[in-house]
Amino acid sequence: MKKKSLMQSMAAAPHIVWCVIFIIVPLLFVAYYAFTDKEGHFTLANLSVLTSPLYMSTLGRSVIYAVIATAVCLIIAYPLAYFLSRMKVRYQQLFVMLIMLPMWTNFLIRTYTLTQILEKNGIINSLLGKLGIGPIQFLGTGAAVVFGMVYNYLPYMVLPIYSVLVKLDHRLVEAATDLGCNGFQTLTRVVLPLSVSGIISGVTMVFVPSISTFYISQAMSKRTITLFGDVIEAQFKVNNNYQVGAMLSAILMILVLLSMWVMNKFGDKDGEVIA
Amino acid sequence: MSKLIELKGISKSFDGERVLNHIDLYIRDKEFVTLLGPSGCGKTTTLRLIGGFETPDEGQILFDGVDITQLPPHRRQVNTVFQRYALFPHLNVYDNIAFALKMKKVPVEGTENTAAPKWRHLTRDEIDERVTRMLNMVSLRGFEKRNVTSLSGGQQQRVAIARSLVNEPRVLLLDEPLGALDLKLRKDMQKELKDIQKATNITFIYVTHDQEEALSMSDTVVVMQNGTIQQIGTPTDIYNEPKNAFVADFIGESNILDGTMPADRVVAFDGRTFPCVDGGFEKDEPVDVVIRPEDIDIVDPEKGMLCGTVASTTFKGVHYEYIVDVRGFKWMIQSTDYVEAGKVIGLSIDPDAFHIMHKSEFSGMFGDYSTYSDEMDELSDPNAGVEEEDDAEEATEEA
Repeated sequence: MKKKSLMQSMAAAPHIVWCVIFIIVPLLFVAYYAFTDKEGHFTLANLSVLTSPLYMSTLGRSVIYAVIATAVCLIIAYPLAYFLSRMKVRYQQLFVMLIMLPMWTNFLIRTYTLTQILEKNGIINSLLGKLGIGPIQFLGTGAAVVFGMVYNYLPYMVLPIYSVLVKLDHRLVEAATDLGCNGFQTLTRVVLPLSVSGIISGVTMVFVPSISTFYISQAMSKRTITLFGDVIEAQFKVNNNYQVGAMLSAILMILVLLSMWVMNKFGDKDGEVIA
Repeated sequence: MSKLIELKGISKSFDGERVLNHIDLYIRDKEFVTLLGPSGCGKTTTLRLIGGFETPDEGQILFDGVDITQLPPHRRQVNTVFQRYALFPHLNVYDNIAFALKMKKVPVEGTENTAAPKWRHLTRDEIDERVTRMLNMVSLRGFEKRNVTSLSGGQQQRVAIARSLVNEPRVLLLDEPLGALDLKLRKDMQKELKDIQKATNITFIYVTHDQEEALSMSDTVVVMQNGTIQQIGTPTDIYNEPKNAFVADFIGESNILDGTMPADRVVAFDGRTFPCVDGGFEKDEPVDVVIRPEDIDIVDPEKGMLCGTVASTTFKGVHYEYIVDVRGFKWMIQSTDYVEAGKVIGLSIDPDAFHIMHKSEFSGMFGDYSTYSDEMDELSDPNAGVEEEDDAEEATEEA
């Protein structure tokens, strides 16, 4: 018995080492820099960013963009995932593959390519030009930033919702229609409540990278819109101010943790109503 | 009793395979009808057509004389108890039962007969009153707040029945509802279902492959095989007057012999003639002769109409079951008398124990117990059951 538990802990060892080196240690670094000054002395001075209107308005803007991008993703992804889950199995596999395909390319490259396509002299505008329309300036707007986020993160919304819906017992849908539900009522009373877990993980997986993203906003807005991730990046790479950068990162992390906690509470509460 | 549901010339195929072949059937109001047959015979598809989960390729479904062939399930006055229940896992017992009532709209009092009646949802009290009545009927008071997944099979079954009856449908469809329960519970639920049907006065259409269940519960039994109806009748008719070898074999045990009818009330097989009570056949018409195992008396060899050797003896509790070799044909005989295997015995059969049937596509396929262990072989053959499950699966996929 003891031998087996030794074996088990040995099997887990690489994972624990990995976690310590690549998760715990970096977090400790963040905490260290956030609460020290340039000489390495303990200080709370970096907390002053919390009162800076510039940083806080950027953070607010990031939240708004992330919420909008998440909502758009959800609206597009849910019907898509639903139809996907109702397809014949071999088509399902094909389409899941197609949805995952862009994830094989780095998001920086994908976003850069997207800007090239949407540029004033890009493919779309040259096509529109042939029709006598445009050129239209797509880039440089808030909508372009949201579009970039949706484009990059949509698969993270589709896949968890799809995986819940594909397991949904179709007889429950039949039972709902049998008991008097029309199509819309079946959706709101049976399908949606039973796919809450997929929606929550999809929302989390889109919201978290959206709120912390740093390149999409720069590229898609032509540097006219700055989000919180860009500010953090600038602190590390341009200003060489690790201390403020770390504090901003910590603030963002706490915000993300808080929002995930709220989301899970929401899910749990729903679960309690269910039970 | 009027015809409540009528199926006219219904055909249905899945992926080119014909599951139902020109079915004609009507079901009377307040009747307990059972669709009986082996897996893959088309009984579940028939039920799903009535429920509205499938549409037929050909034919018409009438409800109270009105064509409902294309009507979606939520607009039919029919509710279904699904195989393995299909209870909503995100709702508790109370909310599962109340589900249909929350969908329901009734005319506002006083506007029912006007040109444009106003509609309203049921009030909380109205719903509560009806759900409570259902809970009492299925003896589940006190279970209101329980999670349906925490209930036993029998309890889930009751919730499923209550859920589909709360809306007072004209017809309740039951798709092998007792299939997942153990034998004892099954027997109790059979009685309970029958009682509920009598109390509510609702037409029940019940699908099962269990012939005993069908005989003990139904007013009318519809025996199906290969997508066609083989026989419709009362349980007694089906048992005593089977129409062909399939029905005779599927409902209870039968010895089925090749014979001819030299004259009315005389049947010939095994090289000799026997007095019987059936007539109306053409002279020397080839027929199938059915003799039920319990209708054969074991007598001394010299007194018997036929002589045979006992090949095997099985104790069944109420009686012994014998396989008897009569000149190469293996008979099944059930008797309370004990005879050792290997002994020569005489068989005595009363004239009214012979049941004569016209020849059919099933002639020669059933009724000889020399291959008695075949059924067992089939059960242990991993490939045997595969095809049978297809019917149900395809059906759900299509929907």
